[in-house]
Amino acid sequence: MSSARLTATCGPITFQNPVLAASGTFGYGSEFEHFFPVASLGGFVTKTLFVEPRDGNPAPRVAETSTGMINSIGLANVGWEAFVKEKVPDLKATVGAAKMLVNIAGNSPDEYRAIAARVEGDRERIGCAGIEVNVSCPNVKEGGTNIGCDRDQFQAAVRGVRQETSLPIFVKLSPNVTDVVPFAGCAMDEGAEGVSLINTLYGMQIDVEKRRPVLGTGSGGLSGPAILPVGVYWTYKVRAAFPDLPILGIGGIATWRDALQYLLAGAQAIQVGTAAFVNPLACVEIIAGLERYCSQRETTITELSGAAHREGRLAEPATWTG
Amino acid sequence: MTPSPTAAGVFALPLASTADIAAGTSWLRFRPPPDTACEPGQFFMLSTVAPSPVAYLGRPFSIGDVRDGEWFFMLRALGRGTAWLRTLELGTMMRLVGPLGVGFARDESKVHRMIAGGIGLAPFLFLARRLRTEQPEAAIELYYGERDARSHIELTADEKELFDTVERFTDDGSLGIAGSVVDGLENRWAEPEVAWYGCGPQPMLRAAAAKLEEHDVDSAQFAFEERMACGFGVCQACIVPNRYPPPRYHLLCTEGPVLEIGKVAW
Repeated sequence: MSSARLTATCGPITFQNPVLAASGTFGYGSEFEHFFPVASLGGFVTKTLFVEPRDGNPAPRVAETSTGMINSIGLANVGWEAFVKEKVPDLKATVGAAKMLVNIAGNSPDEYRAIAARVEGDRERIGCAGIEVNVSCPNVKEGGTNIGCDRDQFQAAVRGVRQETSLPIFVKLSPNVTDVVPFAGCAMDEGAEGVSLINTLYGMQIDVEKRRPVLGTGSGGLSGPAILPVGVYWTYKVRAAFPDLPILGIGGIATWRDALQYLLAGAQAIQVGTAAFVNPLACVEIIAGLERYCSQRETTITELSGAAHREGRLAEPATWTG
Repeated sequence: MTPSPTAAGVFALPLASTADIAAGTSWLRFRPPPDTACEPGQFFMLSTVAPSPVAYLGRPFSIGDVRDGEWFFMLRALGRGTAWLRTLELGTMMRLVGPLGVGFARDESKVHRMIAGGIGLAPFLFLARRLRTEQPEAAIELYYGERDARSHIELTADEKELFDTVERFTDDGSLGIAGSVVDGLENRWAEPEVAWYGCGPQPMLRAAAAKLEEHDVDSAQFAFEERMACGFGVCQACIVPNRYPPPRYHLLCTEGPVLEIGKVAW
């Protein structure tokens, strides 16, 4: 049980602390139970689920960089039915006070609608607090355009999910656009309760001996400490533009100081992803660090959220123009 | 005996000692807390507690040996990350996540035959040590190949005692028998009551699996290697094609790293 100082309110969801395990880095919840009680987290986001199972991409699926990694897992997942039957029972036994967000995706706006309908139909059975919508998915029918980078498709996907469910929706925004802010605005206009930002950045690594890309699919998504400043920047910008839109900050968080940057930039809670691969205890160490910080300074997560805006002089950060 | 699952943990331990054992190759040794059980064929993810300047992720290492209460890991500098790990000073705080995965199942065959290529030797000293204790009557054999004499890991007297037979091979003939382990085994593939174990480069494993299947050997366990980001089933990076899908892939870190050769689509 976290102290009251750590309580994090994200729109309709209250987390016991602001630290969530991010989608794709926490399996379906039970994989970390060896290392620490999942119930001690603020929450966790499941691996991205589609209606149908997916095998994912060919190997190699990860390439390491000096400050992170590039992955092209290809959203391998067990599919909705197997998730409900095989994963949820274990998960319900361990979740405790932690809140579960179900991460969903599809290959077209119609598929987003379909998976949202399945979540809505099983919401009591799975006991989830909300949905995170992974829009960083290629639209197979539209020549593989990334849905999260195309305003029309993005809007259609979010709208479809909203129409199918009354669960709180957080849309996970892609940084692979010129400006993330209009996408946050669009999510809000379509009735999403909040946004998660950022997803991974496009990246590629080339093997200089073999003279070809390392990853089986050629390229993938860059995560890890390398992307921390990008995520903090967009968190700041989105908070400045939409002060009332709840933000789950994500991207490169490995320590409590990193987490605090996101909170100060405007996030209400944060997610830890890649860091948990290297250090499975990253989440609990971050919770302990934030607890210490808040108690030493007699403050709360709620007070800290967005404090960089109030105390700084840049209500709107200057944009670097090269 | 089927390996029983052991609970994985996260250990922060100082690098207790190192020893060079061949060109670019050394033991890393740690003193774990007492009564931390692990099985031959299982592995740990190793990283430094302070973030590395060159390698962000941990690296999977087979448990090389457990001796005098110490964990041994065999490290060969094959890339930037492993080269950097070789430069660490004694006392460096390291993070060990494990023991992970499923190790070698051990039956009561008369002969336990291990075929190793290069750093694929890593899991076999521990396996042999365990078999020696459990099955003192069984014959334990090692067939170990390297590129050349420089890379060849010379076993100590104590290590040699773990085996009834050690045959050594080098590609260039600079030590032991010239040629590959697979060629060197000639007509021994068909021998009865042999439990086979393999670990090494993929081409070696593929060639060995082909020989074994050609001779209708129905059970052989190979320890595989793949890129891993986590080591405990979450990142889904370490896939090996499944011979009998669905699913299309085995996840090496949780279903392996030891797999029966018949499960793999070579």
